[in-house]
Amino acid sequence: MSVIAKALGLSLLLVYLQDLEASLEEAEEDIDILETRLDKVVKLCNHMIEVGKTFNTANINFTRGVQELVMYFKQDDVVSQSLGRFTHDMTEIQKYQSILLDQAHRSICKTLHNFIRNDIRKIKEAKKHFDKLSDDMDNALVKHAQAPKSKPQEYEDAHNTLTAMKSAFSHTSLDYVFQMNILHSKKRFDVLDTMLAYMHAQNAYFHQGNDLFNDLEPYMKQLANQVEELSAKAAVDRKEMEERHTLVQQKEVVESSDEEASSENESEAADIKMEGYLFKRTSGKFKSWVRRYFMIHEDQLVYRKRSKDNLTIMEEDLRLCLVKPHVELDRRFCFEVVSPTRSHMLQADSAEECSAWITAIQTGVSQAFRDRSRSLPTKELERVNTNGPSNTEATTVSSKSPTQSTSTSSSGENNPSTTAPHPVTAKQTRMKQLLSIPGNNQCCDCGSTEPRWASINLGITLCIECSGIHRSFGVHMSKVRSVTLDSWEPELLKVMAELGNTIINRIYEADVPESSTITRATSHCNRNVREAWIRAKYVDKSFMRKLPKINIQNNGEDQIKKWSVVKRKRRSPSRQLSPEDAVAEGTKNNTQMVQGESQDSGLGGSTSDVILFGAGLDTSAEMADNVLVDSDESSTSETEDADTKSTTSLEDFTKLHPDMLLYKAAQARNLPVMREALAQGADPNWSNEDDDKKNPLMEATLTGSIAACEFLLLNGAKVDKTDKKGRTALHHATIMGHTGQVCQFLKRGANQHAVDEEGKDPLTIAVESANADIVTLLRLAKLNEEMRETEGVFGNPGDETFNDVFRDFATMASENPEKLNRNK
Amino acid sequence: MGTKDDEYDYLFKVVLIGDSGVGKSNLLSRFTRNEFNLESKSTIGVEFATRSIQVDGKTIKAQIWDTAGQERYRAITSAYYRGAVGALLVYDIAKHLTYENVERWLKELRDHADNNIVIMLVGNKSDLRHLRAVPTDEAKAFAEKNNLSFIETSALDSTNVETAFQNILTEIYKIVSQKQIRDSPDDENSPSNNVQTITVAPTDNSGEKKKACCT
Repeated sequence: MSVIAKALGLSLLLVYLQDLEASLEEAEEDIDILETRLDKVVKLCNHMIEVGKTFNTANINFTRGVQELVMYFKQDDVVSQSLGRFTHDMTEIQKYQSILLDQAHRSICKTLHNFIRNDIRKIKEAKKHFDKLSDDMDNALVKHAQAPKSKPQEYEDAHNTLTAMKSAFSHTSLDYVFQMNILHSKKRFDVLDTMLAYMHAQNAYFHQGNDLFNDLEPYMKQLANQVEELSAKAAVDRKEMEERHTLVQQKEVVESSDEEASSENESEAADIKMEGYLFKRTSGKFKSWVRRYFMIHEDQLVYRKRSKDNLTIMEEDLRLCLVKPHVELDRRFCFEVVSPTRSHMLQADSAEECSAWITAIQTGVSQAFRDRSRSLPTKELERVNTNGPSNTEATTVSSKSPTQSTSTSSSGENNPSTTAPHPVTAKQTRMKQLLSIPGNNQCCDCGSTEPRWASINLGITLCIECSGIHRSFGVHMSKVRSVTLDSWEPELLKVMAELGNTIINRIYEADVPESSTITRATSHCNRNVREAWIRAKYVDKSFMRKLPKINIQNNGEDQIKKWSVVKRKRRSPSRQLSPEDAVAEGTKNNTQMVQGESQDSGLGGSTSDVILFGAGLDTSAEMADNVLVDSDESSTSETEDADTKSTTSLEDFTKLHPDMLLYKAAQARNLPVMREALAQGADPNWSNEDDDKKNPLMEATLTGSIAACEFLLLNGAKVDKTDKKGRTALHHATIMGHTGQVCQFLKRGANQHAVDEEGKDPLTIAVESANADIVTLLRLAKLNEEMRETEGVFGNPGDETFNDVFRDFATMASENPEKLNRNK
Repeated sequence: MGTKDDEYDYLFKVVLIGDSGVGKSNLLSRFTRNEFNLESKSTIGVEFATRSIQVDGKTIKAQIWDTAGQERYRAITSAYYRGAVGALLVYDIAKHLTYENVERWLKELRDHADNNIVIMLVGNKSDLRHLRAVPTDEAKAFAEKNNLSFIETSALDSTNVETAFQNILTEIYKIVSQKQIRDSPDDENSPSNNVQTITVAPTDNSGEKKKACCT
């Protein structure tokens, strides 16, 4: 390098002395710095443009949003016009912005980039060339110096090369320096030019904006005035509304107190319909307070969480309730509703409301008393009438009027304004449901209307007189319940739905001789007649048909007869509510008499091979006839019903005896035939030696029918019997995954510790098959058992949670069986 | 069971909830039986265990419901929470997802449990220090924000298990006993109220008798 410097010093100093004030290195460094700075500017400018573009798109989106808003204000001219104008101007501004960005890109990025690209690169190339030549020059000098004195030829050559080199080098260096000079001057005006262009663009941008807003300004001013006016108007409106609001509130207070007064004064006519929000203290451990919407409705105190939710009945029968204010509590405006079993703490929002509620409930209580007592005199009237000789005309008249009065009073529509749609309470639904079952709208034994009692193991409805006689025979014959006053588990309703007065009378009154010494009970007969009739019907079973076995013997044995029981199909639970459906069902059954080869030919001289049980019970045909019944039932598992066979397997006629009939009927989940078999004397706990010693309950369990199991349990079947493999009905329900039945058996205290021959208890089986619901139920029952044990004699009515959970499961199994049918 | 802890002044139902595999069942077995099983299987449905502890001179029996974390092993959800006065919401400090799901469990509690239920956030498996994925501070801040108590436990080495249960039961006891004092005149007036609670109130005759014969 020192050589170069010397050489430069030699040659350059001569020609461009004034240009070489700064050293070459310095100049090069300067160019490097310029390059990096320019690079940086270009990069930053690019970034700015990018961000600007993003801003622009966001801006466009915003404008678009405002435009959509304009669409919303279509009807409002002022708003839509001004908004439209604003958006228009905003788009203009966006246009300017994009132009500005475009210009910035063109002026700065492009020009500077070109500058870096072309001019600076040229310098770099020149530098390369110069470097190379200076290397060559070095070499030439070395060679020149090395040339030995002895060889003049070589010496000459070297000298020539050096001279040539020298001239080339000086040219190149001149060129290089020249380039540099050009760059130096060029960078000044190039950069300035670029920036000037950019500033011009900016200037234009703001000018455009300025022009735009100059145009817009008067309009904006005008609009501002309008807005002010509008807001002033709105304020006036609001004030007016507020005034009106307070007026309404005042009125409400006045009205409610009026209402209260009127309900006190003429409570006779008043439709006591107090409704409103109250705080209710929960029964849980925390005794927290929750807000619920309460109302007095049809002699019941009911509440719900939100308007959509179902009503929860707090007190079913207001007659049993007492209401009183409660002051001891820490909270104000509290009152208490006390019934024989419970006490509810409620809190109103104010003292007035509290006393209004107390009055309303008290009125409700007395109203409930009046409602019930009003229906009683008509009943008595009815009874008086019956004392005389039965005049058919009088009977129909007198039995009609009580129908009306009792039905209206019981359904609670005895207020003047029946138009108000009342929510249907569970009790009402239940009653409708029960009475819609064929035959159930009249007492099963005496035919009087509006039966309000039921025998749950027979599956019938009864009037109060007949229910009394049923009761007197003891619970092994008839288990009596009130339709309205008792609580009904869902599975009981299913049993009732499967049977009904029509079906039962086809069994128990199949053959009432014309010349019987026993008088048929009527709605007006006296107690002796009634009792004699009921005794003959259910205890002596005088009017039942015998099993067809006897007829076969009379008939000779030219053919080997078989028999079978018709399977009941399932139906969706909702359908059983509708009486129309029930009727339709009945007519369908009538027409669908015979199926396939099961030909009927009456009792004697039969030509058929097969006798089917279960059909005649629902039609007018004789019991032994081969008629098909097709009434249905829903149950826990829907999937398992894959077998399309409508009957059970054929059985030899020699095996036809009541026990076997019950067994097969359980297989067919056919409750009427089960009832028939029991009436014929079947043992509900009979076990079939030919079938692993299983009993009817196990067979019913296998079908998944909750009603069939419930029916057997109601009629004396024991839940803990075991089969040959040591399995109980609970084992079978667990194996089948029938959650509803597991729940049902546990509720009835089934022993879950029973171990089958493989050493497994139900819990082990449930865990193995990972059936979460059944595991939960079994463990919960076990826990409950343990808790009760530790409570000992002090008696705990069972874990509250346990009862709740089991109730939930039972309801779900009966009403939404599909929900329990999971993870299969 | 069947030991001498049959007599108690209070019975509290506490539920263990949280994702599958966070160690709920082992927390339960550590607390009630001092057992730990590295290879425990998924809980099906629900499992129960009880243990009595002393708080403030009173015997408190905890009835702990260990629920299945896995969706397909869970029965009717609301049944688990009914009557529960406390909930241990467990996550695994080494698995961030189980911590993220805490929100979901809180929602389930809000939907199904009593509003006043006492909730404790439990970061389990604190022995897995080298695998920690959820910083203690973060969980603590989250618990504070949501008004939960917070503790980190290890069912494996027993760290804090006892404390966790002791704390939540004490907290419940404080709330319930306070409520009882405040509302006590009401209880006298309606003896039928007792039918609905499983608590044997301290004033109850039977409670006195039982205590007299065993302590």
